[in-house]
Amino acid sequence: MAELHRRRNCADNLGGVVAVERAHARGLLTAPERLELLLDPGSRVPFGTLFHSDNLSQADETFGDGELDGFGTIDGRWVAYFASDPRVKGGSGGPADFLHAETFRNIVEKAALPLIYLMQGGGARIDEAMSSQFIAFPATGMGVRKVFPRRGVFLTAVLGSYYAPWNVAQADFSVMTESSNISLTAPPLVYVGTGQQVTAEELGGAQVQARVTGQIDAVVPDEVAALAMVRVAFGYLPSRAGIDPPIVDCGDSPDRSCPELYDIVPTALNRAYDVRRVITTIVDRNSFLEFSPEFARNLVTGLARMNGRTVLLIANQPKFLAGVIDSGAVIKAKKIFNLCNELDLPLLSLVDTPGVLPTKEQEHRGVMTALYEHGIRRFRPTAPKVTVVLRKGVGFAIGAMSGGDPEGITFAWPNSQICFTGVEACVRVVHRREIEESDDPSALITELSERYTGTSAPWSAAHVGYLDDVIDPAETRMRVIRAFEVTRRHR
Amino acid sequence: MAATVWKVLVEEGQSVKEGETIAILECMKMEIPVESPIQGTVQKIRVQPNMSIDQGDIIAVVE
Repeated sequence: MAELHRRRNCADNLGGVVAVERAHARGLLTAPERLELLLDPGSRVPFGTLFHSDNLSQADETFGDGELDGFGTIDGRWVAYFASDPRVKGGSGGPADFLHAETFRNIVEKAALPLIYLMQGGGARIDEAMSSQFIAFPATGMGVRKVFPRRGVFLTAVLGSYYAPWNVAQADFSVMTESSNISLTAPPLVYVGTGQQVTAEELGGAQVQARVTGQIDAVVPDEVAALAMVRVAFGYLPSRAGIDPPIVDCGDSPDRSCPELYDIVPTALNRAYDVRRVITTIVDRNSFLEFSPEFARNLVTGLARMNGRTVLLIANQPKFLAGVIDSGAVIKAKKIFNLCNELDLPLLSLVDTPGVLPTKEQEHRGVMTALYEHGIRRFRPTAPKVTVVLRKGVGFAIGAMSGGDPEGITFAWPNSQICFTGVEACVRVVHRREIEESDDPSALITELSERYTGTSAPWSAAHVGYLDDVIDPAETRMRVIRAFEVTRRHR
Repeated sequence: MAATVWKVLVEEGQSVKEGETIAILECMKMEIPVESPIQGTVQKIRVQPNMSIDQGDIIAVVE
């Protein structure tokens, strides 16, 4: 018993006061402090507290071997946690850590518990990983969680430097602090391997991830905000695939009319507006959680609630890049459709797009293949899908937004225009010779434009059932909520 | 993406607020507002109406 108490005391006080002061001096929290903020008070249940590095002479200083695992509750729901512990070798991992992590993950996956990663670390402990046994290590973390049919949700908070961040790539939701960074490997290895000199911030700092890669869902000022955001995001998600997320009644009537939409969305099809104003008008008040707001700004994505129930959301953003669909938007939409498919979450799509961006650069980026693969992801989910065409739904872009999906419900506003290509593009290309030979090209263009505008109105599609209804914009909230209510799986 | 400058709404030396529209571009038959990312003073305008520009081109300098 004396030895047990001694070891537990070492494990509970790793690094002593010095370690705490060192972390605070860098503006960081310790792993135990982070868990205090993440979990409901008094709910923490540690796991495997006495394992340590294979280097036995360092046993007393390496309990946990760079990580704290365990369980706790968030708003009363059980979760598992995996927190980097920089008190031990900077939070890097060695062979003992990898094996312990695999055991822990097996328990978590079998119980289908949500798993929350709090990461700050140096990746693999290089000197301990220079063994051919390393061949087994990548298998423990890369992609295995996607194989299990019943799995808990996955959230990751990056709270410092973090290398080989597979937990970000796999996460259903990820957040990082402004001062943190993530990349495949650290700058010294980049330099040794390629001669490229780059800082950690240039390689994968928060602004790089937020604006350039889109690999992170949110960037926040500090750790307190990051941990708070993890709790908020988790509140939108189910504990595992196949069950419903918590229902949060904020007192916003499902029958609330939205006449303000008449002013928010201009009737002139060429006028831009901020689609987030539409989103915040029709979803439950103060419930919109936007993903990656600085990446692919031409597409707005995120989570929201409607009548208390979680919905995923994608919406073209007319005020940025005219709301076109491009390769960046497809990357951003991929995250949402994966969540729709893997967690069976309903999807609301708001369409106002002039089409796919038709440029040489987009073709050279493989936009065709990206759209095709996106189409496969779009059809795969069986969760309810509701689409509202607000104004323009043009070309293959409308398909990318899940419009016209025969397994979903599609509404359109009366002023909407749905067609293969833009009206002027059609007129100028199809009728080029007529226009060139006309005595009054301008009048002919106007006449032809009016003709195609007429056929692009929603009535034709509604007549044959390709649109399920044309709705009054003010009724959008009510109609969407009713559509989700009748199509959701009544478990 | 490539676009055409439709309107320039500010002048050099003018104070602007964060989010204030400083120019409107036209592309894909849409008006695309270009907003100032910061509050400041327009130091330089580098475009004019009907000018074709591409992604990455500087429209104005605000400090």
